[in-house]
Amino acid sequence: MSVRRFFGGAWGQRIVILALIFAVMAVAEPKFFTGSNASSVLFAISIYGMMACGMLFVVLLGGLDLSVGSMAAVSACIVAQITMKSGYSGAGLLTGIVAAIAASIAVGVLHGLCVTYMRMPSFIVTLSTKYILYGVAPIITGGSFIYYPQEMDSNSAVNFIYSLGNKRIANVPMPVIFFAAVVVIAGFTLASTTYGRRLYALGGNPTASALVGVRVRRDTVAAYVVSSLLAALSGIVLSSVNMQAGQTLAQGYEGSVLMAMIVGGINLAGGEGTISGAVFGALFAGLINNMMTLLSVPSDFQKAVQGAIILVAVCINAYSGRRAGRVKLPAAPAEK
Amino acid sequence: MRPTLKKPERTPDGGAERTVTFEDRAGKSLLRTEGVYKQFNGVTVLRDVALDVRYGEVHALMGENGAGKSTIIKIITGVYEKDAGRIMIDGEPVEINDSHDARRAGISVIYQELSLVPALTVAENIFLGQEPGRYGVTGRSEMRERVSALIDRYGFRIDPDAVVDSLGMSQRQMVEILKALSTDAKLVIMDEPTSSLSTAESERLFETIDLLRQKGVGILYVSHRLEEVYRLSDRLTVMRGGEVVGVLDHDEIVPKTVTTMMIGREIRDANARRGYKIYEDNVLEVSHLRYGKLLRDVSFKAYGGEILGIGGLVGSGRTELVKCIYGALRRSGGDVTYRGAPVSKSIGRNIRAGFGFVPEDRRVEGLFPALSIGRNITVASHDKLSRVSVMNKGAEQRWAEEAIKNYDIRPRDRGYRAANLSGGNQQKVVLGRWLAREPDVLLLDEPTVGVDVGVRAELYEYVRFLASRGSIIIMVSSDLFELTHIADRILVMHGGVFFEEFTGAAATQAAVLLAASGQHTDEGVALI
Repeated sequence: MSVRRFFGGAWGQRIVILALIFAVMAVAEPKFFTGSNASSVLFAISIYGMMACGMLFVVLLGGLDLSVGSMAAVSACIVAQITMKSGYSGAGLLTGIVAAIAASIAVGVLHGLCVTYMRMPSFIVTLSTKYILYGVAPIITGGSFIYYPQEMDSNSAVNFIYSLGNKRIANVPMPVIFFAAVVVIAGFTLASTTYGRRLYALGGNPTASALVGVRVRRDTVAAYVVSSLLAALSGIVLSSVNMQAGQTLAQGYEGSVLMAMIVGGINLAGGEGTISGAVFGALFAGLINNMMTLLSVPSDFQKAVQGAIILVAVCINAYSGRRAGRVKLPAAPAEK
Repeated sequence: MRPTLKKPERTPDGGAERTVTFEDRAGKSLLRTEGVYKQFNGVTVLRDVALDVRYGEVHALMGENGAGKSTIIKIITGVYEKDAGRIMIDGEPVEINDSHDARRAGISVIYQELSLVPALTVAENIFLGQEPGRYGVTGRSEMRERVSALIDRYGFRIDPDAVVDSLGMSQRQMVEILKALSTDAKLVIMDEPTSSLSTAESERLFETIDLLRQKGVGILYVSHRLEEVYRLSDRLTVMRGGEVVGVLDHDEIVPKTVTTMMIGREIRDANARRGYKIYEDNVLEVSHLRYGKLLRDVSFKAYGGEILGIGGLVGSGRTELVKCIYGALRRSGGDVTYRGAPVSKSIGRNIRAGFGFVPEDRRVEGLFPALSIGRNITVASHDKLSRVSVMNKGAEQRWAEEAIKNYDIRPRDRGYRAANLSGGNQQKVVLGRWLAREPDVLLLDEPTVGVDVGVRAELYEYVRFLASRGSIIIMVSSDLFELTHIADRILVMHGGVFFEEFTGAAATQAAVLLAASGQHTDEGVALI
């Protein structure tokens, strides 16, 4: 059985894995089940989840978007800086959000154009923009973190930012609501729209897609824009949880999101993967990272664990994929 | 017993290897097969095949698609196992079970897709994987000298230090040949070596082949092109339906004789469509179409109700022609109009205007292997199955299920993964994708390659039915039977232009075959 089938298939199996994590935590660290930890896990899952839903569009095309963490940081910095400079006016906040969205669309379009017109590998393109964006972030903020003022009653803009990250509706925190909304919209797009149908076709066979009338370049650019846009949204939400923005915000999140993709059974070669896989991947990534933090695993070593999980999952996928390929060797064909 | 082969030896004085040529053996038997049989899934594809190739001769092998040429070559080179028969090298029976055995026996194949590394030099490519030197350090000077010696011995004109990337196709083939010779090949097999060469490059390849012949190397040369077979070969073996129908000496190689042997007695058509109706208002007109060097000036009209066959050899521009019409290739000149209006360059727009295209390479260009049968069928019809970009899933399911039923796709399960289907069913899926739309213009490129006989008949039935409803069908094919029996009119391409048109009784397989080689039919050739 492939990891893809195992993780990407029935939720039954996924629940077993999540239950295992819970079981380990129950024994090892009771703090896991406290309210404050639960909400921090939920926040992390929501942020990873929104990024994962966006990156799913790109991965379905056989690409990667390694810039999601830096895109989140930059968009949060743009919003915070413009809002602050405007003296926390409502218009300033709106301008900031529009500017962040515009910036993320521009980055997504750039990625898409590089991948389609220039035929560059998405891995290299998005790795480059990751470094560029992390370089740009301190220029936007002037090099230090921007903290939203905490006296939120007095100012509607600050109040609004605060509510994005901290308000609850029916006792559900706003980040979770954003995540749920993203899952519903992205899931609907992939499962029920012509664009979704085209994405799966494109990821599976781009040449054949072009021959059935798919506009390959336009659809590819759109996928990269979705990824950047959702990264920007998660960046803004993340910064409003802690009421601060700076260049180290969401740093390294692309690693966790990549882990979510792979554990979620999304085929990195393109064409296969579901929104539920991305959701499961985000749950897994959030829980594993939280578990390691609670168990006081040093942060560098957390990266090592993430890397190992990715490696093992890819390894099992590659192995079972190869085995699956070996099962059905066609009989020697008659001469053409 | 296997003939022992001497490894190239180095002389103490600096590396030139011992010269191995076969001039002294010229005319002696090199390769013989006797009574070779082969079956695939109960179908006999080779029956009692006897080949005889001598040292110092170019021995051509010709036959229609499916005659068994590739199969016998794959048996000689150890790709397939034979069911019965013997292979003899130098008069001694040998067992060839894999490519190593073949190489040890002195047999080497020059593949159509060349296996060179573009970034390396000629010398490096020749010694790839068997570089001289020690401890992983390549002995460059030694390698150069050995390659120079090899080049000199055969009198080739090529620079051992040239990077392969900078070479033309014929020179690359020269490198492939040198690579074969470096392992002391005495029999070089070439399968359609000129299919990707220009005329000038072909001529250079022929010179290379002449040099090999002079050195006593035996050459088994598979080709569809009569004129080059005549130019090159000392003898010609013709195959048909898995059997050898005859061996001709150079002087006996006459187009009339060869085509007759290849085709056999023509069975006059029992089931061709007679009296089909032309829909004059449904017309596709191509005028002065050009595409690079491949299409020079192509003009024709195709009408609704008619199946227009496009014949010609691989590389004659047939595929490019249909792709230019469809919008998959950007034409360099000329006009395509449909019902009087110019045809768009956008494939999507053409599809919505009623076009459909079944590409030649099903796996690369047609099928979505990871998608289900249903998605494979509906992928070209999102326009009819959605509203404001939202799929109507009920309509989508009905559409897929209807096509699966109408075109008898097995299994009848729209969720079944297309990759796991048989070749015939995959082709039904790709064709069904378009048929379900009832296209007004359906372009088919080799629609039945790799499809067994039973499914073929079904596909023809579907296509004929569509034509009878008034659609334009343009069908590119290499299969002479398919052209002469399914198409109502045949245009044969040669050298980037339409060479000849056939209709009715004139459309015989022999005439089409001759036209594809660039020869007009004279009186009396067509029939035995």
